[in-house]
Amino acid sequence: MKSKSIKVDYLARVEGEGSLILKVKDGKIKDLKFKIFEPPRFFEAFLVGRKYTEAPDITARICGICPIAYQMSAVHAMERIAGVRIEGPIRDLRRLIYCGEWIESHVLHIYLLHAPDFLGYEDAIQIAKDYPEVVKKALELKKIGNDIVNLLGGREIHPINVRVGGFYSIPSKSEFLHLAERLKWARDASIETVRWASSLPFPDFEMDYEYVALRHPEEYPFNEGRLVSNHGLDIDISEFESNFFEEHVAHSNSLHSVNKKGEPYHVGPLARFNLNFDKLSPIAKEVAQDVNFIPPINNPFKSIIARAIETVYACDEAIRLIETIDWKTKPYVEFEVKEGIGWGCTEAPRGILYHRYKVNKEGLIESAKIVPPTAQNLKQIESDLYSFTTKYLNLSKDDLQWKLEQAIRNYDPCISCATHFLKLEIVEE
Amino acid sequence: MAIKVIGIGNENRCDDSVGILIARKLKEEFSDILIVESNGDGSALLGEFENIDKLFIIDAAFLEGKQSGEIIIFNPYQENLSKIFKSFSTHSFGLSEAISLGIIFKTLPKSTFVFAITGRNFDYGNSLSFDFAKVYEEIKNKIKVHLTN
Repeated sequence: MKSKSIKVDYLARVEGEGSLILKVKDGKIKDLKFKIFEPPRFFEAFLVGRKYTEAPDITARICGICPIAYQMSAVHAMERIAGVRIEGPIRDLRRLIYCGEWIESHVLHIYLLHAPDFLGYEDAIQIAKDYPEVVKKALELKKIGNDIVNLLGGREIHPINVRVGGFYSIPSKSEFLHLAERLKWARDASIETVRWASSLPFPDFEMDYEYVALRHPEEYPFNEGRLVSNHGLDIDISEFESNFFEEHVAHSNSLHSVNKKGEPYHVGPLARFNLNFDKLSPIAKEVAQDVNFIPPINNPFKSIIARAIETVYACDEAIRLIETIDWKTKPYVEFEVKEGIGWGCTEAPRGILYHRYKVNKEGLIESAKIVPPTAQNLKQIESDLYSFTTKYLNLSKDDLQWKLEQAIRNYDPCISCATHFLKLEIVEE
Repeated sequence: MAIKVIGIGNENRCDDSVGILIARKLKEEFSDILIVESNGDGSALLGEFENIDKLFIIDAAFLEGKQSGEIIIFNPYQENLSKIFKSFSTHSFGLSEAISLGIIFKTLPKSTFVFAITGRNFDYGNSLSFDFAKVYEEIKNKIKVHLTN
């Protein structure tokens, strides 16, 4: 078919409101837009004038799926302003709560949002009719992630126990011991998930990506590290804004991020996996090798396998942390507020989440900038859609539409996150 | 017999808060019933269905042609709730999805009653577009009737 028009008014199985428009004429793409019409949400403006201690709780409200990521990027930025470095048990507890968020977010996406694309089902409920045990297992896995966040964060959605300097309170080890046992089951279930995900049918499609992720010398990254890429980038997070830029595009309420050359880049599980494979735990690395999933992986549809491997890692790391953390530690480190600028960049389930704050000597926020992973991936998503359509233009309209929606969900886009921004210009006369 | 009431809502979205507010008030009056509040997360809701004999779910809904505050009771085994409770939860996994899975997994109690309270204003805020006391009394009385049947 030389001409076709695809219009998906409301994309399902993504968080937030987006649509897709594709127009093809005489065998050429005339228009392709991943439109974001979720309204802007003004969080950066809300933060101005608020105390530096409020940033973790305010920014956590940006997303119900990755609030921990927002809290972590915020607390690291504020601690950097104060010149404080959190080590020891509190640092470990931050990794533990991040494990919970990765498990719940990744499992939700793998089984309930992305799997239907591969298996030809409308949604997970239709899968459950044929394979109830698969969906039951997924929900039990997800619940374990929720339970970690609930126990350490105070509640599952928008947790309230994270503060600048640490936590308001720390549960006892005994409260976590039963979770450690369930996590052992979860780790095994995640290993099965990797094997299952690697057996799915993947379109023959690869892109030459610039992957960007944190890299830490000793661990698979959650909270800390330098920003690196497979194109030679290796910078401190404070240099983020001189290497990555945000652009307005008319069809999107979310900004699009580009690198220095104005090109898209790719953040998220596939980027982390490709750049940090050697830092996975032995169990996670072994299962990846077993299914021959070894970097470089450049097929975005295989991000579902990367998510499954990261779920194995998160379960494994959570077990290790629960067993080794000194649970009797003081929950937070106290420090004096300082004037200055601070940066935080942590690995949300969907990729790097950058925060920058300017705080005055009273501890009030004077400016804030937040760059979420989905906004960083939007231009890359459009690039993928363009390349995929060019290669598979011969597919029927229905097949092409199905695959294009699947291609968007490769990134597990969180549109609510991506539309948090406000660009405000005041002209005084 | 294990009886549970689940009040669903968002305290900061006007009429959407009604499920939560009713759950809180019921707690003050009924000590022998399990009463829980929920933000509507589907996976968490699924866990609430297990080992319950009689379940009451209370949530606000936008119902065409109904007056604000009007209550409609649905039997999830007889009616498809996906068009009534359009999912506003993260990644589209909310009440109707949880109920569908509960039926498939055979964990949703056979005696389940979904009370949909017609809302008109789901914007940010704490006000309600209907008389809460009247709605509460009506819900309470309907639950009492079902408890005695």
